[in-house]
Amino acid sequence: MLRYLQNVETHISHSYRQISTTSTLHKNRAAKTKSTSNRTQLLTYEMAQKPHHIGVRKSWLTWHSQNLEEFRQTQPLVVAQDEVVRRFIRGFFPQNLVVSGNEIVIKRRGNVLIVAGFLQYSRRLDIRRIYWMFGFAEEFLSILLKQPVKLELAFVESEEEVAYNYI
Amino acid sequence: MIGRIGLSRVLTRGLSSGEAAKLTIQPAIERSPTDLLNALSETVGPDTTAPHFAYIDDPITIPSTQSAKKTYFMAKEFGKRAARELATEWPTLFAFDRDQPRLPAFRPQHLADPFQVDPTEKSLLKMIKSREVQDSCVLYERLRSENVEVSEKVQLELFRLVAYYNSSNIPFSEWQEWAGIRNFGEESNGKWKTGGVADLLFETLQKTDETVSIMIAALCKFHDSQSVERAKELYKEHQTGKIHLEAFNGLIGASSFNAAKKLAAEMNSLKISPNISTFNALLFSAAKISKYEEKIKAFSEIIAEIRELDMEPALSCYYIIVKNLIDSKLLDKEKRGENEEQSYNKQLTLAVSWISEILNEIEGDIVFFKKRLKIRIFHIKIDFLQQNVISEPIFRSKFFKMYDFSHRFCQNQGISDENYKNLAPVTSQCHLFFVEAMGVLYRASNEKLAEQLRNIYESSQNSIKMPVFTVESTFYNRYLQLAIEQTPSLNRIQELYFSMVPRLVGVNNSLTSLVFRKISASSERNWPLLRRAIVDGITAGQLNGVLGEEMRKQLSNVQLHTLGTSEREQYTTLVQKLVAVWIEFSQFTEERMRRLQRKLSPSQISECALLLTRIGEQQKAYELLELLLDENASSGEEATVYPKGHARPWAMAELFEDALRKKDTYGAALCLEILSLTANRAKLEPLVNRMVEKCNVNQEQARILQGFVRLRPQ
Repeated sequence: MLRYLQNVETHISHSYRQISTTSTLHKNRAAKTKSTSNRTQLLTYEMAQKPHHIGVRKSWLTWHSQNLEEFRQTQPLVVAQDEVVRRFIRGFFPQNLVVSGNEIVIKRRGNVLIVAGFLQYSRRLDIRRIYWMFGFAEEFLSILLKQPVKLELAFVESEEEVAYNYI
Repeated sequence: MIGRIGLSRVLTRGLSSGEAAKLTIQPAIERSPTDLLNALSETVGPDTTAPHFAYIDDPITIPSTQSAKKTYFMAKEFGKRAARELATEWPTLFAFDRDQPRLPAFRPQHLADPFQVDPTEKSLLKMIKSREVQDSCVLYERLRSENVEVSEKVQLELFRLVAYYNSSNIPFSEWQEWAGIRNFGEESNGKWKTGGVADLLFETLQKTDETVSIMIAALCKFHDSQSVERAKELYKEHQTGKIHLEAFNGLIGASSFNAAKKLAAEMNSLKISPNISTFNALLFSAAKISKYEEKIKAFSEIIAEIRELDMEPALSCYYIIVKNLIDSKLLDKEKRGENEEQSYNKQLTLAVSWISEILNEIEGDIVFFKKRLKIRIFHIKIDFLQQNVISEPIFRSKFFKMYDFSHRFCQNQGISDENYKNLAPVTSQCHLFFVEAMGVLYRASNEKLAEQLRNIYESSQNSIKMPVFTVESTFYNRYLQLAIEQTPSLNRIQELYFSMVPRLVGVNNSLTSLVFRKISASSERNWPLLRRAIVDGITAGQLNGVLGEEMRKQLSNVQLHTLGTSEREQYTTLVQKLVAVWIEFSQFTEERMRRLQRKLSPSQISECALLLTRIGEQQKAYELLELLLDENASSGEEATVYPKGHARPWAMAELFEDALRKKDTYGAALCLEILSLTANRAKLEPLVNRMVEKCNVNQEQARILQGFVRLRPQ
């Protein structure tokens, strides 16, 4: 108890006035979507649920066992892999992305890495091209990550189809 | 408090009811550790109607026709090959090397360049082992030019390789890594390359039994008249030695039947036992006999010979027989004369009876093997009883459960039906029997045998499988068309169609028109089947041409009052979709899209208008009909309607009646104007009278109508 008092005292004695430039940044801004006057801002289900709903109303965007006890050795590796996969998908399917490719789910099952999510085809629907790109992406990522990679991307006609709400 | 009252009540009730039924605990049912898992696994199974796993599991990307299946599969494979090529070319960009142990499968490498590798025997041997035929030839030439000594052993290895593949790279059918190319790649069996590395090596190497045999077999494998002659000469020259079985097989297959019989006799004298390939070669030579009766006799003799030697004919033997039971020149229906028709029917009957015999034989074998399995299980049971039951009383008391126990024991020992797959591939042609036999049964319209053949193919005893997207699809297509042709019941057709299309059988024009024909001929009504056939037709691009016309006809024949509420909604949606697609196709008038354009014909417009009226979209229907009277719509660069042809009178009559019923003067007048393009005054006058009578037409309008009709030709 006395020890705390001592701390307070030292804190007061060293305090001095200063211009604060960081006060607004103290707020939690994550997952706070800004509404529009005419309700045109599209929200997917993923966006509409708050971070504290993860594991309750919505799930994770990456699935692996590296965040469990005794599995932590390669957690940074998984983060790096995720980023590689996400960037590749975003760069490789630029015309087909839904909400800028922010909601790609990466799942790991055994040695297999599965990329799931939605793509849209309203801008151009050439199924042969899609098959070629899927084949290329799967093989490219497999060779890069040295493990089998599968794409389980489903198609919607346009981005509006994944809308959960407009704010 | 409440709890206390509840407890006291329970206690009182318990004390007062002395005669309550006794609670008896049932003895636990004995279960093995895997019983629960087995029960669970029985609740799920493969979905035979689901798309093949090679495709992207999404409705827009699942192919429904045979050509789409091929295109998509190959597109994906070429994508993979492109990625692999990149990784081979720039391996440093893929150096995310965290795998332990290192996985060579994810580190593609260029094939060794024969001009760059060390000119040593070791590199040559490495190339031979990886079956790079042409590269091996190049390296061998290089070694010779650089005077590097190549041992006889390596030369023999190289000779084996180049002779087997005729100094060419391995055929697509032997590609291991790329399934698409393996199945869809087409290659002709080329002729022997004279003066190639194989010939050079043959001259260099000693003429042993093996080298001569390899050469003869190779010359017969890639045969033309010259190479067969050369093979025969080699055989004659080497009479002192003993050539191998493969060489005999090659010679037999390339000779006439009489010569083949002599060769077989010589084999016998040399005490060389034949194998199935020998008999295949004999059958192949027998198939060359021009006289039909003699050919059939030869087939019977060969099969009897196989049995005589205590061997089982492989399905490839039956394939060669079935393929040659009907003369190829008789197969084309249009080219057959009257006499030929008779001999065709005779041959077809004979072919069916052969197939019937063969199928009974195969099925008999399956039953026989099942019996053998039962006998084996029985023996194991007896052994087990002797070892355990007698000594341990616990087993004696539970003797009645012995069957289950021993069955489980057999399973643990790995003894099951699976061990007794008697239909196993012997040669690479065995699977072709199924498709060839189904072809004959389809010609003969023999559904019963076709069903039997299908059951054998799908049986768990059969391990001979056809490649999925090529041969198997043909097999099921023939079966499905035959079964649909033979049954009058639309429900049965629905069941068959739903279970096979598009997973096993791709949507195709002949199948769709057959389904439509059966629907038209039947007195039953089956909306789900019709809807499915039309929806499949849309995805398979059958909307234009004859099938599109058939779809409109079928939809017009649907009696809406027989459909339920949800079915009527489906009908509405389908008509809207079809009309929208046809209109969209007609509007591709831009230069770059014109090759896709399909203009609307007047008959098509009238039918579409009728369908739209049925679903209550009169406004849209009249808008379509107006196109028939609009000259700009059928002329010029922007034309969307064919200038030729006429609206369907029956459709127009129904549309006119509908307009009268609704007292729609505009609609009725529009129909009358379109009808006047083809009908004469006599036919139009009663229509005008009815219009005046039914619709709210004032005097002025009536006068105009009558004047209009009077101006028409008589």
